[in-house]
Amino acid sequence: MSTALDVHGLTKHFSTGGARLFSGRRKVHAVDDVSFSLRPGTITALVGESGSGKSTVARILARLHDPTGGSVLFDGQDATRSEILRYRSQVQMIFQDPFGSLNPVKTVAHHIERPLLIHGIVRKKDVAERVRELLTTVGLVPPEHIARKYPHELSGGQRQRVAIARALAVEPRVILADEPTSMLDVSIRIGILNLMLALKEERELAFLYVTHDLASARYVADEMLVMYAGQIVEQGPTEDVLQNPLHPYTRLLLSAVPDPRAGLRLADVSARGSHHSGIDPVAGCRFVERCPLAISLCRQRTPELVEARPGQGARCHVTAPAPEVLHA
Amino acid sequence: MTDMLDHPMREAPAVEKESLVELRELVVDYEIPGRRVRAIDHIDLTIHAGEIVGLAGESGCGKTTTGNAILQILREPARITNGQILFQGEDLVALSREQLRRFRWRNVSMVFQSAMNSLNPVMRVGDQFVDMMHAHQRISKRHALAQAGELLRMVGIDPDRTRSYPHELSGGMRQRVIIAMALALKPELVIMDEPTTALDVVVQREILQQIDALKRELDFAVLFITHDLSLLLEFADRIAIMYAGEIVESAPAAELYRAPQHPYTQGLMGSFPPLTGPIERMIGIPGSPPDLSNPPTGCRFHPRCPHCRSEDAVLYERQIADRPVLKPVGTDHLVACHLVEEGL
Amino acid sequence: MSNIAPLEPVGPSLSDEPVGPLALPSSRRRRGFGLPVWARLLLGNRKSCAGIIVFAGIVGAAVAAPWLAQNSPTDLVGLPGQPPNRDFWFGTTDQGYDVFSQVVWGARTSLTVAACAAIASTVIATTLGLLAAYSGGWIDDVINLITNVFLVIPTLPLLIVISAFVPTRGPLIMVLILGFTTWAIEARILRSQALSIVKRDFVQAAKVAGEGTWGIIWREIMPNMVSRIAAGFVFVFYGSIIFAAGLEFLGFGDVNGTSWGVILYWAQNNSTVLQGAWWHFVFPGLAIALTVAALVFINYGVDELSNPRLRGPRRKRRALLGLVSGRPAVRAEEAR
Repeated sequence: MSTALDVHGLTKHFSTGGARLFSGRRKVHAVDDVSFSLRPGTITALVGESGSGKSTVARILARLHDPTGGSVLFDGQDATRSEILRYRSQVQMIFQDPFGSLNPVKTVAHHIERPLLIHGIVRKKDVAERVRELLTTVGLVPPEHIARKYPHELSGGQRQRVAIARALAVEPRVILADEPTSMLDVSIRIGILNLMLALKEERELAFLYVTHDLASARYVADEMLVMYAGQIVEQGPTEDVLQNPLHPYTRLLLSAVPDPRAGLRLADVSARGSHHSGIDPVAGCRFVERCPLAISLCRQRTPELVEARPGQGARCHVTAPAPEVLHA
Repeated sequence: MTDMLDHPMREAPAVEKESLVELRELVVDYEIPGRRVRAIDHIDLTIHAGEIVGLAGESGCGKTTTGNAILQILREPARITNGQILFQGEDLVALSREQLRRFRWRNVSMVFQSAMNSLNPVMRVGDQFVDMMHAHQRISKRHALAQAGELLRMVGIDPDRTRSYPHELSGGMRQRVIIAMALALKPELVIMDEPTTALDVVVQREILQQIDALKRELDFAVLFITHDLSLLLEFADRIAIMYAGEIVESAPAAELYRAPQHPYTQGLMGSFPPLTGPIERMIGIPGSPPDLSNPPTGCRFHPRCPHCRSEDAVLYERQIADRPVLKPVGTDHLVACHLVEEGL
Repeated sequence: MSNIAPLEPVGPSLSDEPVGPLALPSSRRRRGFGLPVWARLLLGNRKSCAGIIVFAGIVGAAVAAPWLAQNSPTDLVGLPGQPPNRDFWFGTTDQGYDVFSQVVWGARTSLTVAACAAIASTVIATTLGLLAAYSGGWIDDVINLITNVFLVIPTLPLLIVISAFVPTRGPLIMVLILGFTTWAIEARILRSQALSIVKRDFVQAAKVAGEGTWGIIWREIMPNMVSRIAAGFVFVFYGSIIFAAGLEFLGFGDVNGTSWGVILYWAQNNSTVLQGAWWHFVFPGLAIALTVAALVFINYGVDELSNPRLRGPRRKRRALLGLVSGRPAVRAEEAR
């Protein structure tokens, strides 16, 4: 199957303050060696806690940040070198805060018109008509009425739909959704998720769904990537990853999600230590402080992402050992 | 919802506990020149000693206002315009300012939303405890610091961290500090308003476990305010569901999970995709919560309710005209819904 | 097009009421005489309302100069040294010019010069401030450097030095040098505010949509800062009146022109006050003071526009307000 976007070895380091006299600034490894592909007609979930680097990955793919290393290939070409306007007509983004991602002093119509005009999607006289079509597509009716409104006159769910309509305006192939539902009321989230599913099917879009909510990722995503401390620690088809997780961090996440079917589980969560800060990491697995399965190799060598089962891989010496390690 | 359980979720309290806090016909209005917004509309709620009561609802339902009302910390233009808040039988609304000041934190304390961001960044953690204790009792600084250390140990933090500044602690640790502060004077009730919303799911579980352990040790009641119903179903003893300023359903957690009666509760439950079992298309709830300055007539949920149809003329008349009242439908299970009343 | 059924109708029943700070625009049709929100605010605030009335009066007088002041300000029309009387409301100068005419016609020059200077200054400040905030990096550093240089130099001495060197005199030169020296402080302030706006997601979203740098600055950032820019404009306006008058008083203006500062220059130059002719000084001075005060008061209202927290409860419903708007002003703090 052809891919819409290919990511290879993506790396992003930020330098942080706190430079010491002789040791220079410390580096935050926000993203380290991240590789995956987005395919048309697929929703890929990028799951992780805050600080895992998932939002940074999305922003690099949206070309809001430049990567420190690695490459992003779009249509086989290096995206960081390709013409930016063309890239933006193919890759769009939806942000987490529905209110923050809309300009408070501009109407809904403005937000959707601008991409149409910038990229010349339709002729000037057809713009209003296209705006109405897009609003109808995302379920905001009657569109003429909504188009005149300002963001503060809409509810959270409506605003997010406007953001989706804006993203759809340029007829992109890839949509990067950065936690699109986490700031919405619970009863409205499903509506937005269903809209994403419908768009994926109707338009063969490739979605990157960044979230910390495993349950919603299960609901919409075909593929799942689990991130920890800037690295992808597990990837594979969603059901496989969730039902048979390889990486201990995935197992930890699964056991921590509230599930009304069980009581307050006290024994499952064996989380020791604290979240890896990603600052100046040393060699070895970044999860080692909290891992119940850690062996001595885990402190010495950073594990590679190894495909332990067909289509499913993890970055763990114990559950997904690299072949040469097995025979060592 | 798939039915589940062979085993009960939480053990129902065996002994009949006395009521600690009781809200009766409570009304809170926001008075703005030109209009009045009723944030809480005649709610009744009981919290028993040592019980974890969950208050669930979405934005604008009034749950945070309820917590603030109990502590009597509503800010202008919000005012309690009707009803009683009974604490161990005594009406808080009638207390003097001085009595209220002693009551706050000693009998009832609160963990606010994003409280971990409200620690003073330029004071050490221990000093902030000392500050707080000095406001409520006469105690030497040395003594207060020692107590602070003890409290930190109780929430699973090394007592030496009293010397740390807030930014040197992780988000989860800061939240635990806040919880420790809330427990410092051993109150009977702790109100927690979205205490874990800003935290990772793993840290969230740690905190909840911590609260559970503390509750066993100190035996306080908790009013847990959140929008995350799935969390409450696991954690709370009883759950009350709020919508548009009213309590629409209230039941023990296991019972609510097994048999939610109110269409809103059912809709809410249907908004949490499951982690296991078959993946089915879900609906959520269409529409949005109403504008409280002009709420729908009759049942406030009726514009969004799948069971409110104009075809059922007689019922429809009631749904749009009469406000449903909480009525019992089983042991300890209250629902405010015309459908349920009619036995549908 | 698409055959995705609209998922839920979210039509007009939801939020017809604008929720949020009053200065945000509203799509609601305005009732009655319905003024836009900002006009209601400005007229509702007692201070700014008074300021508007006074300023409007002064501008009106300047516009009506040909009818109001029949005598030419540059003609010797009366006996010199007359105190205010029925023929010459503000008296005459020691040469015999009509002070009233001079003040009224001088208003035209003084107000126009100040307005143009304020426009120039605001345009420069907005452009540089927003560009610095949005671009960051070396562009920000360079603009900051330039701004700092202009900030450090005290304005009046700078103005004096520049005008001493400039060969010609006249309103245009005055506008240029005033605009040139007053932009820096506003640029700094606007940059600060723009920095907080740039961080918000809608700016990033505009970038992802393909909007270019200037498109983002003018279409997305600037409209969010209109009230702050307006406050800065008013500030530079009255500042320019004062600076211009000061320069002219010191003789650095066009002493053959007609403006308030020049009247003062001649009054001082010919020592008319020593002769007891107070009307030569007082009336132009009053004109300056009243105009500046009116603008300061207007800025109280503009400040409320840009900072909703300054808006206070309006206890009295004034008839004027009731007349011009469909309903009385509502307090900005809304219930959650």
